[in-house]
Amino acid sequence: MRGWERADGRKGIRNIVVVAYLVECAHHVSKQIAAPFEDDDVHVIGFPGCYPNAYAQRMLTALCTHPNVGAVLLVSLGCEGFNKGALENEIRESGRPMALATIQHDGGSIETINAGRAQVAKMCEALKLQPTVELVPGDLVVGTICGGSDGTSALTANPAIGRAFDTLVNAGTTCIFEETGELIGCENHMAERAVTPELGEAIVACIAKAAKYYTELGHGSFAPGNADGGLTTQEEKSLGAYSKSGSAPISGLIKPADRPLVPGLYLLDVVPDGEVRFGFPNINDVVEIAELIACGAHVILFSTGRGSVVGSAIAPVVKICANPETFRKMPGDMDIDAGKILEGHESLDKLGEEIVALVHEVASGRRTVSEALGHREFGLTYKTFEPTGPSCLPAPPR
Amino acid sequence: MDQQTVRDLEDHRLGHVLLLHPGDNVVTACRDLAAEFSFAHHNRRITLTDDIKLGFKIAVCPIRRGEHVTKHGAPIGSAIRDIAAGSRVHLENMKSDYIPTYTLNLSSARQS
Repeated sequence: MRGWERADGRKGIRNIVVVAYLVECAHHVSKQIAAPFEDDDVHVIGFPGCYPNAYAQRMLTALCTHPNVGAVLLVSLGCEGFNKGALENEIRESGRPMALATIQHDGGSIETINAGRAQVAKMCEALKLQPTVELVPGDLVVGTICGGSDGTSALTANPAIGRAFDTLVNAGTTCIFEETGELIGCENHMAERAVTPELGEAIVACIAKAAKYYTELGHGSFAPGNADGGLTTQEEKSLGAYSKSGSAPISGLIKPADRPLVPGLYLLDVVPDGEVRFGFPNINDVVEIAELIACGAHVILFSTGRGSVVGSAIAPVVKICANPETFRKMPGDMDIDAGKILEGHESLDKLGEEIVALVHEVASGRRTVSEALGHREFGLTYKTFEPTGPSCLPAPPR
Repeated sequence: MDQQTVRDLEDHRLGHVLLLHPGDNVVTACRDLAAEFSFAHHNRRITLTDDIKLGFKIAVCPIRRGEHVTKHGAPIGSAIRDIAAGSRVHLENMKSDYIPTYTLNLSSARQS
């Protein structure tokens, strides 16, 4: 595997220029700046809100200093509430080339677009000259998510990702699984896998928080249709999603934009702390992927049964199709056909090996199908989190 | 049983039933299977006592009332009566240890 080393010592598998808007009002100008660079790795991300939010600030900081990102252009309207000075400082401290455009100060849309394009062209040229370095499994962070799930997800793609996670964690790669709202009923099993009893208690409390949050929103997980498909209990349904985590010990419980400093398997808590505010914890799969990437994930393993097509800004998304029928309908959107398990052409262990091999190829520069199609979805909304508790993270190496 | 034997057996059943974890006491049907269909599990032959639809669970050993039903290597609930090997395992003979399952009947009763 070969990638690019950043000034802060982290290594990326892509060399991306990020154009980040700091309020929705600067989104169009940002898109126009990036438009001529369709064939280069220039990705647009941003935060639509005008009112400041600590979570969004942490998220954009983590994303702009992600190891796959080589340079950053921030695009401000000028009067929004986002703390752009703090973001600018963090990016500069990470050693990345960066620039800030402020539409109200720089002469409006056309002037800002033209100046921004010149900046991005310069950044792209500079990044092309950067030499590559070797990556070892310990440099890699891999996240997983399921979306557009159906009855086949729990039988094929999810347990195959679990087997891939076991192999990756064994080799020293950091792996992250998430969606605590879909893990209700698995908390005691997770607690037993936790590396310390205190972490186990924190995981149980975190799932109780998710259950309370979803109950208040009136949003249950087990639907009568699930029983028609052969699922009997809530915990059985949850285990289908949970099987993506494999069987390694759980090293820590993190929140969005927390970065694990010790290799291992981590659970990402995506449900906000405190009273229910700002609506659903995650409005779609894309915002969950952004949270995994903000935790440092270089690659996302996306299990889908019904057939999601999304990719993401900043990190390649590997689409693992659980349902053989879906794979036949939309093969051009899928990287791996996990449904062949149901037709007797493959075993879960072999499929796990296939996933690990593809992760290593993608980390060596191979484009995933969503990348090749230009899928660079991104979303970020308001949330509230308290700082991660001391029992949730293993002690960093000295 | 060593890991290789488990894998050989898993391969033998490819395409009909899926053992998600070596220690599970149920397998999942990968396609609709008729009663009398049989397959090997842990060197024993299991014969279906019921028709089993795609996605439904089959007991691969006797499960006593009160014992955990395990799938994906973890409990998914408990047997509410003795279950024979080869039987379907669903709402009629097991329950959640966590939260009662909403059935279609309950849901339609709620809607009316």
